[in-house]
Formats: sequence, structure tokens, C-alpha cells
Amino acid sequence: MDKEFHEVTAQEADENRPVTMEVATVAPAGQDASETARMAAHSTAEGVAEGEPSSAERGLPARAARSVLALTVALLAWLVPGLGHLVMRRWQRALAFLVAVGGLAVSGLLMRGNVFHLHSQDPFGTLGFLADASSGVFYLLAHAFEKAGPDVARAMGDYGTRFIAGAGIVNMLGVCDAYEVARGRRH
Amino acid sequence: MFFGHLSHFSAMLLFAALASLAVGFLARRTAANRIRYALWTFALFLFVSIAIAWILYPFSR
Repeated sequence: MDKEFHEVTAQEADENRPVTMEVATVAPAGQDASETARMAAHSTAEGVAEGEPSSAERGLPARAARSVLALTVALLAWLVPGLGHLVMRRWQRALAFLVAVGGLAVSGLLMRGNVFHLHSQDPFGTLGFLADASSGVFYLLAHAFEKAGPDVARAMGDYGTRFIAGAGIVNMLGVCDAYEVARGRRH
Repeated sequence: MFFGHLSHFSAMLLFAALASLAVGFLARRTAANRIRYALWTFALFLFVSIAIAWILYPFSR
């Protein structure tokens, strides 16, 4: 087993706890856990026999709620880098993504990199738009940071273009991670 | 302005540092392991960049 899983401190345990929406089955005092499981199975069988929704049907609203929650978290994570992790109380990752994506995007814009727009003339421009737009609020506020406009005739302007695209790609990693954490598939 | 006068190497350092930070915090669970992995990724960025630069050096003239 990987050594890192033995080194989780109390503070980090809170950071790494799973986001769960499960209903726990607890055995009452003086009652055996296997007996509780048997009674639960019996009551489920009774519920199905009397026309009540099965456990699978009862699980649908929970799964739908989790999907909506995950999509909302992903949207927040795209809009403001780190916000998706912040609402799930993953403070460290939230701060890391805000600093990384914000640093890359603002640096790229101050280097006077090119920001691609939706209606580009070529496929590379469309790919550039998708990468740039992935940085969320930094794409929306690009003109506020880059008042003089792009200058890709200089090498630094060309690097700035890559920085802005890199910010979007890094943020997409954060969006995917936040979505997976909200779905309970990742810690 | 500062960002307009970065050298190629310092721009690469800046990109590597910020990208490594995100990768480190994404791939590991504990603070110590995250920092260690971010530093390792940063070192790999530097090593691979310099290696590619030397490989391409004969073709630059």
C-alpha cells in the first residue's frame, strides 16, 4: 500500500473526507448487526410486495441530487478557479487552483498574449478559444487586464498566449477533479 | 513592466512553478506529499526543458 495513505493528519483528514449522501444503517443497542441486516432485507421485500418503491427506485432522487450537486460544483469551479473545491471545503486545493490558474492567466495577459474569441477563422483559433474560455472569470475579465491589447510580434507576447491557454487547461483539470469529488469518486 | 521584460528562462520557470503547484495538489492527498510532488514535477519541467533545448541546439543555426 502507498505510504502516503498512512500520513493523513486530523486537519488533512477533513480536507480529504469524501462527500457522501448515503443513509447509514445502524444497529440499535442490544441488537446484532446481522439481525439488523436481516430485518432490513425483510422490510425491503415487504415494501416491494405492497407496491412501495424498491430500494433502487428510492435511490434515484439521491443519485439525481448528487448529479445536480456535481454539475453545480463543476460550473462554480469553471467560473472561479478553486470555488468548486471551496464549496466542498477543500481549502488547500481551492487555494492552489486559484493561485495557479490566476497566476498563469494574469501573467499571460500582462505579457500581452493573444486571447482567442469564439468566431475564429481557423480550427486552431477555435481550439485556442476553448482553452482560453476554460479559465472562467479570467477570460471574461481579459480586457480589464490587457488594456493595450495583444502583442504577439514579441516572443513574450507569444509566451503570454501559451500562458493564457495553459491557465484554461489547468482549470479544466480542477473542474474535472471537483466534479469527481462531488460525485464521490475521488477524495 | 516586469512581465514584458522576462527572459525566456524566467518565463519557463514561472510557468513550471504554477503548473507544478496545480499538479502537486491534484495528485496527492497530504500536504507534505503535495509539496514533495510539486517540487518533483517542477524539477522534471526544468530537466526536460533543458534537455529538449540541448537536443534542438544543433538545428538552431
